[in-house]
Amino acid sequence: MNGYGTALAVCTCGGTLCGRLDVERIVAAPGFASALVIHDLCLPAGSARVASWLRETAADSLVVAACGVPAAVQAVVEVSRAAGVAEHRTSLVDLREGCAWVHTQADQATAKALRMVASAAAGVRESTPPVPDVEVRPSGRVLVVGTGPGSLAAAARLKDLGCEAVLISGTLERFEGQAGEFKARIRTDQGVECHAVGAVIAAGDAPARMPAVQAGQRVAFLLEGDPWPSVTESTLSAALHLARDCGCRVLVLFRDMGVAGRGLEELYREARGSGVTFVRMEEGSLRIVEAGGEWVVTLEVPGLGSVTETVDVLVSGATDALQGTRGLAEVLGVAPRKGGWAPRERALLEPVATERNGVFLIGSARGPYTTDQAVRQGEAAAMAALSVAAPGVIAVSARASVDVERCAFCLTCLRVCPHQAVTTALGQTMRVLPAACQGCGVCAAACPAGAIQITESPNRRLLAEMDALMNGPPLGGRPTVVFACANSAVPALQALGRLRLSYPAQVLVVPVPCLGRLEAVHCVRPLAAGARRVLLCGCYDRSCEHLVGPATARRVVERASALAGTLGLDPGAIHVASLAPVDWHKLGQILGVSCDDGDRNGGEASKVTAHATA
Amino acid sequence: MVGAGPAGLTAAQALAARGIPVLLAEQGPVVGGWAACYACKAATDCNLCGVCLSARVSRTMQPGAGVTLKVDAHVLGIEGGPGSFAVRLAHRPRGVDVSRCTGCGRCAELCPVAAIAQPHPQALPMAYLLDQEACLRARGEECVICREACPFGAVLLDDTPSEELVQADVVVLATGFEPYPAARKGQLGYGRLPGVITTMDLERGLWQHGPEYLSRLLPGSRRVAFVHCVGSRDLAAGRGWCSQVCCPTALRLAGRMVRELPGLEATLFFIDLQRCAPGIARLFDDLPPEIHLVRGIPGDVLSEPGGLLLTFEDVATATRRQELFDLVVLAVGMDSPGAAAGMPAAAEGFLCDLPAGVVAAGACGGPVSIPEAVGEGLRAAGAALRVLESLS
Amino acid sequence: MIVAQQKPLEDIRQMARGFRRLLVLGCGTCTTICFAGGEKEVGLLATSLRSVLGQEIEIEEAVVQRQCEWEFLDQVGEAVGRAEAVLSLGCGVGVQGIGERYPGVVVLPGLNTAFMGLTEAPGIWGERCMACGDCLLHRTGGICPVARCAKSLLNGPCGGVQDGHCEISPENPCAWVLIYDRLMQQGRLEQLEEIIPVRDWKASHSGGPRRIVRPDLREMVEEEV
Ligand SMILES: Cc1cc2nc3c(=O)[nH]c(=O)nc-3n(C[C@H](O)[C@H](O)[C@H](O)COP(=O)(O)OP(=O)(O)OC[C@H]3O[C@@H](n4cnc5c(N)ncnc54)[C@H](O)[C@@H]3O)c2cc1C
Ligand code: SF4
Ligand code: SF4
Ligand code: SF4
Ligand code: SF4
Ligand code: SF4
Ligand code: SF4
Repeated sequence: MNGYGTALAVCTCGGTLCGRLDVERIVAAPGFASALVIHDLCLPAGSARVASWLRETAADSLVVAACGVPAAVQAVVEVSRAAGVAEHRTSLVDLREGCAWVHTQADQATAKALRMVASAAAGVRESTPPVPDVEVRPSGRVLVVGTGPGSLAAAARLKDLGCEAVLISGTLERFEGQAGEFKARIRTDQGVECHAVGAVIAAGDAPARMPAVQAGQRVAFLLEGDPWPSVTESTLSAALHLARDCGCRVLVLFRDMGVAGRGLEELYREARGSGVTFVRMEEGSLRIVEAGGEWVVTLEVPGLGSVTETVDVLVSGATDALQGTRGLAEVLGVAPRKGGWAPRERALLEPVATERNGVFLIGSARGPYTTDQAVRQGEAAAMAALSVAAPGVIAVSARASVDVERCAFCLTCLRVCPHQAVTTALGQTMRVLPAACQGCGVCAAACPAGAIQITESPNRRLLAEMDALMNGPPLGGRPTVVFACANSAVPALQALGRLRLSYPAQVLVVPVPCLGRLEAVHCVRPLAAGARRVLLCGCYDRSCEHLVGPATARRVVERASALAGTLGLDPGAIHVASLAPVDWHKLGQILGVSCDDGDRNGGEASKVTAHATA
Repeated sequence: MVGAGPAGLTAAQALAARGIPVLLAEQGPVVGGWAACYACKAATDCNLCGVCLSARVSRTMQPGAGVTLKVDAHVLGIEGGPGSFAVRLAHRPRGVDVSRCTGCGRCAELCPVAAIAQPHPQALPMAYLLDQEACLRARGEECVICREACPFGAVLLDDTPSEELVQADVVVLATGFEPYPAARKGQLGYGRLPGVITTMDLERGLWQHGPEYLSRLLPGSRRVAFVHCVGSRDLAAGRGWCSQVCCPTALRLAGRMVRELPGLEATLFFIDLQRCAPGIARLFDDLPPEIHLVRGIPGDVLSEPGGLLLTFEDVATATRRQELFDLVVLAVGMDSPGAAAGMPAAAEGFLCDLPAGVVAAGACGGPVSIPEAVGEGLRAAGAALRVLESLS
Repeated sequence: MIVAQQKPLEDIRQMARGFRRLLVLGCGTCTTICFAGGEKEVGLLATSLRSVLGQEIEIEEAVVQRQCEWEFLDQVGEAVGRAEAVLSLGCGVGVQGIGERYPGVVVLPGLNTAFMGLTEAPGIWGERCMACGDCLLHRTGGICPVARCAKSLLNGPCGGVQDGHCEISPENPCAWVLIYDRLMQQGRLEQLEEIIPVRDWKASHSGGPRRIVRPDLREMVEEEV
């Protein structure tokens, strides 16, 4: 019968994989309606050949065993489109970097390849059609919170780019919805305003730092806190102005001069050259006494003995610059704790974005930045906001969805989603907001009813793929199952492949969008099926794009290990490991491979720069 | 778009996402700029060094999706004005056709002198590189092994330099920086004394070799000094700016080193510690006991029988001190590569006062961190869009 | 909601031993929400039982919307028919519901039904109601002294309050301290002066199993018949 069954295409990469794998055996894998060997999937001629073959076989699903380079991924999309096979019914197996290049024994590598192919086939069989795209129609309005230079720059740039900046004077009280269609409630002196906006750019207010000083007075600035660039900027500008233009005698007491901002070192130099006295304080050596409206500042300076100055005005507490934004991050749903003024430390890994799509923090709402930095961030945020808020129609595909018939309304998804992508309202079901969802799968793992499905890998598909991988021709030893986070472990594995560093064929890899996607059952099932070890390899806590992945994984592993113990399986067989995408060495360490290949491959690094700097 | 570092890659993708066709010219063989060869600096947890971000920016770069990527293409000059720029590109011979090479590695397996190889294991594009100087043909031999071996006909043994003129409506310069040439500070011994390296060497060494690099650099030794502000905040060296990234980078590198090599002690010599954001300040507040801080910059590094002798003014105690180290790491600053593509630059060399229709992004305009460079890419994309809109 | 907790795996194994075909049946309402008996827990328990009981047993998995309704239980009739025993991951009501609907099948309780309560925080559930049959929450600031006071005192705390905590279960706050605070917050402290008279506990479980009959609703059903 035509029109059914799964087709298998195996690419040999110009024949180079043939010695490392028994390609004949792989194309003869059981369970496929038809099979084809090609040599150049990623080149136009090769993909054209696969497309015409696929049309002839009239299969309804496709497994391609090739490599993971972008050109191959692209080719699979094009081939399936040309032959009318739905995209969710296709699967690409990274046979090259993930198998042929990393295993030295052809028979074991072939056995693993057969399992990988069978796993992909089991996956497409269990795949479900994606939820239809949702249309988001942003109006081009972007909420700009704050009155500092960053907000003004953002507003101006938004206008240039065809968006409308909604500048508010009041307090943002509530903020809900998803990128492209947020609703904001603002309390002003007159009452309450509501705005529909596509994005929000939140900046702090400009701190007013010019102290009340009369010409000719003696002033001391006390910089006791961290050397924030914003503090240096405001303090030194004031100090310079007072010393140069107002005839004041100005003293700046500091520990570290924070000059990590454009122009700050120059400002520091200018202030020094204009008569401002800078004195570095060391721990515990400062004494300040108030006497008759004056302040006597005594400082122990190493090597110089003690210095005493009497001043009329003492300015301190400079870190207050950050107070203006208290609570803002919390209202926007991006604060690490209640009442938090700042985004998570992880903000250091993004220029302006936050974990919530369409919410951008800049300037003092983000950190202690200078005017120049705030302005640059404002302009960057305007461009970033454009992608979610520009007027028009955006088709968003849902990366996760709730099966309302199974949902028990436990609200767990709403509580655990790190991207504020789940909502519900009076009389409504639970809903994943597609423009907010980043497909991490944290909700799907946490849902006790199995009611949330990740479009790319629904629960049943993931389990079917794992089961098929665990059962198959012998690998020469008990398997180690590696769950690989797409953001860190997958690229690192690919690098191991490109370096041709070999690890045992018993290592079976299951890619996941985030470690937060995993449940105890995913860890215990392979063990029960005979695995020796189960490794959950992902990002570090602070580098996890989905914030909670590694922490969730540790909890899951704790439960799974306890369960393994009760089941008579090895309770010490399940581990979480953290690494960066660029740290294939660490992955090698985890898998027990030495990665230092001398200068064979990496030796090219010097050439890369030599070339670049020539 | 000139330069495919974090800034250029971001700008190119942001413009392409708005439907603007982009030509991204990169003089090197791969994208990513300097940051493509940096190490992860996580100790027990991630130290937020930003390298993950630059990796993501390269990973999500989809050639074809509106961006035409030309590697090995050095931009020589830019003429014209908004709407009618003529950009002169010099193609450097790669010896391999980027559009045909699949990275299969057959050529490298067979080359007798290892003259053809992949750029690095996460390179984009992953097409191989022919080192024409190492190739046997440079010695007059008639070797064609790699060309014959390549199943895809991708080897171009007779690749030669060429020039091309391309048209553009708007130009974004994201040409980046150069690390300060540490050898210029002769008294610090870089390039002269074997135990003296730069933070750039350490970044790349760790990235390429992993922790093994450390044990190789430092067999049996345990005292490491980091000297801050080398080629920054130094008017005598003609560099009056703070490079902003070197304080945190030195600390993160030291943090990773002391974690990887038990028994190792690291001392940071600095003028002011740039704890410039809460997340960075915390790194300095929670120092592991193996990391020591000394305020004061050593004037010179001398090779002594017991190691490398550093002489410095300890500001905290106002004393002159000397200490021996096994390894000295110079935290080099960010320098401008000079006037890129014939564009005007400030006295310090960073780009400024660009002509209409030319926008600068990233480290070519002044020191930035990776996340800031990515933000700069977004900003420049917005500025470029504005120019385009004014044209239509 | 009804809050329950899974029995230790060893206890479940002991109960299930000897049966050759077992249906693990979850409940999609209360016990799903307290993470004791939803689809995921059914799957995990089935995986575990297969692993500890091995080949000797065949295990099926199913979840119904509510085990306390016959119509929902009808939906798994065939699976129940195949099984020698049903391991219920519903509350005690569910276990008995299955037994009443399918008197011929052995029903095993997989959970210990604990109380009626709410989710205090993710992963923490607390008791709130004992179904005493004569609600007095309007007099106690909306906090139930019957369920939340270890001694079910109705007119203020005993003498054993310690730093606001119960002398019998020090991990719990004293219900009467909570009541006091709440009434104070509402400015209704005078409410405490009203003595709650000795209660007739017949409406509670002390009067034996209870039943509610609503003639209006009964007639409606009978009319249809
Ligand atoms: C030692 C050291 C360590 C550092 N470590 C960190 C760190 O840990 N974390 C961090 O956040 N930052 C770090 N930085 C800073 C970081 O390297 C920069 O922020 C970042 O690389 C800037 O990106 P960019 O795109 O602006 O420039 P670049 O990375 O310099 O990229 C510019 C690109 O343009 C290309 N190019 C230049 N001229 C031309 C031309 N004429 N034609 C075509 N192409 C051209 C270059 O080949 C290059 O690929 C470090 C800097 C130094 C010096
Ligand atoms: S976690 Fe599952 S059951 Fe709970 S509300 Fe969300 S979808 Fe419903
Ligand atoms: S997949 Fe992740 S981002 Fe999407 S709704 Fe679930 S938890 Fe939130
Ligand atoms: S230290 Fe840097 S490379 Fe390592 S995980 Fe953190 S951000 Fe990524
Ligand atoms: S043989 Fe050809 S395709 Fe393979 S790596 Fe070499 S140049 Fe590229
Ligand atoms: S960041 Fe630190 S090391 Fe770098 S120039 Fe500034 S003060 Fe010096
Ligand atoms: S059987 Fe028990 S757990 Fe299930 S709905 Fe009924 S009362 Fe709730």
